Amino acid sequence: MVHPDDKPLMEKAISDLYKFGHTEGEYRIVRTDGSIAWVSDRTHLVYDKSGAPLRIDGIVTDITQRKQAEKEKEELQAQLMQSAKMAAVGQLAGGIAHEINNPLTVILGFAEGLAKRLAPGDTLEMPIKSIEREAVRCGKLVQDLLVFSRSQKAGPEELDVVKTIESAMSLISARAKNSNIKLVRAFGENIPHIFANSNQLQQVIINLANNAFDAMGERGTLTIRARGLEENGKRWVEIRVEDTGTGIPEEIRSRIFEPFFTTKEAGKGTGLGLGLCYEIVKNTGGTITFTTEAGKGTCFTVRLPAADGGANAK
Amino acid sequence: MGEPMQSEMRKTIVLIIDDEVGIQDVFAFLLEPIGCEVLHASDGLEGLAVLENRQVDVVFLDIHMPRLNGVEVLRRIREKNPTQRVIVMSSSSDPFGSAENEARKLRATVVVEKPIGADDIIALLEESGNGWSLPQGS
Repeated sequence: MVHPDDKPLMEKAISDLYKFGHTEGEYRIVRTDGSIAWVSDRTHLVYDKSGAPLRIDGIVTDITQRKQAEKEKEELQAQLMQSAKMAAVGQLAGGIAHEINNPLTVILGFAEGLAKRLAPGDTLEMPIKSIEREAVRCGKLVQDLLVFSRSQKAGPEELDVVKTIESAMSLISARAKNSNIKLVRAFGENIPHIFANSNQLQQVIINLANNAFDAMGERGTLTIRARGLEENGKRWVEIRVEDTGTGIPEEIRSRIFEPFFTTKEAGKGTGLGLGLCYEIVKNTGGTITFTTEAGKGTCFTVRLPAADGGANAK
Repeated sequence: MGEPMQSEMRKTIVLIIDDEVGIQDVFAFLLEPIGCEVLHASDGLEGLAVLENRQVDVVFLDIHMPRLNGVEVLRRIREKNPTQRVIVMSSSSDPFGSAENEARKLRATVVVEKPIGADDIIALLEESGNGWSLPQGS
């Protein structure tokens, strides 16, 4: 049976066959055991003496292996491109961190020092506090960028995933309340511990939740799940962040993990959120994937190796 | 009999070894009003020269400097004074943190990352010496 998604391809092939007398096409079929195979279909019409179609001759070849190899090659190329981009951002981040952190120390030091010398109610309090706050913000941005240069000095530790998610929840709950979003927690039992940096894992959860809020606007449900699972003999912890928002448009799906890629208006997002999630999860030995449907919502799935049985756990 | 009193009156001497003039200025701005004497050096060699001539309670040492970097300065300080309090300041330009790790191996009192705010600087001074406003060893 032709794969339902490829029926239009099949229909076009039949239409071409009658129009031109021959056709070539590649499409998927569903085997009787439910597995999917790619086939190449080359057919032509055989006519009788009067010129009327008599029969269809053709060769159908199983090209599943070739398609698989092509897909793997494409994925590898995409990964290489992603790595190259991350490396470029990392190099840039490491370089600018040095140049920015020095002046930030001067700005912060003077602003905080001046603030301490002000009498209560001094009219300079607001501007000086603003300088301090914005300098801290710049410092945070530089710290975020440094994730890409892998120069975060804080190492991983053994973490209880549920506790870490709960710590991130205080920020998430506040925004859910303000936006009238229902928050659902669904944590499995006996979830194994993982080796990760606690702050970074919280950052992943918060970034995913913030995107979910942006996708839902003023109503919806945000579900955060966590469970332990075993796959290919390895133990993993899976965290899911699901929303009922607008979904991710198809044309930007391949770009969402790119650093500085954003759909948010200027000032609302740096375009680093998902890029950071990707980098943090990758550095922890895990994977981040997503499924999305227009108008229905998006689910991000983060898998991290269990501390006691993960391939990359150290 | 009067010596302890004189000793208590002595200012805490802080040496800033950093090639950024702004950093030197901010330390002076923050620490002089609270009773510290703040000495400056703009690179590692200058810093070592100051330490040859002055007894210093706490050194704030930048890692990335011309002529002699912070790690090398710390190595030379340790050869002469294993107990000198040295706060190493990093600005994260090294993606692998190897200079910071080297500084830890050389028993830096603490390694901190810039940016450092006023409260951080004062807290570091308090932590690095037991009762920082009193003379060293009291």
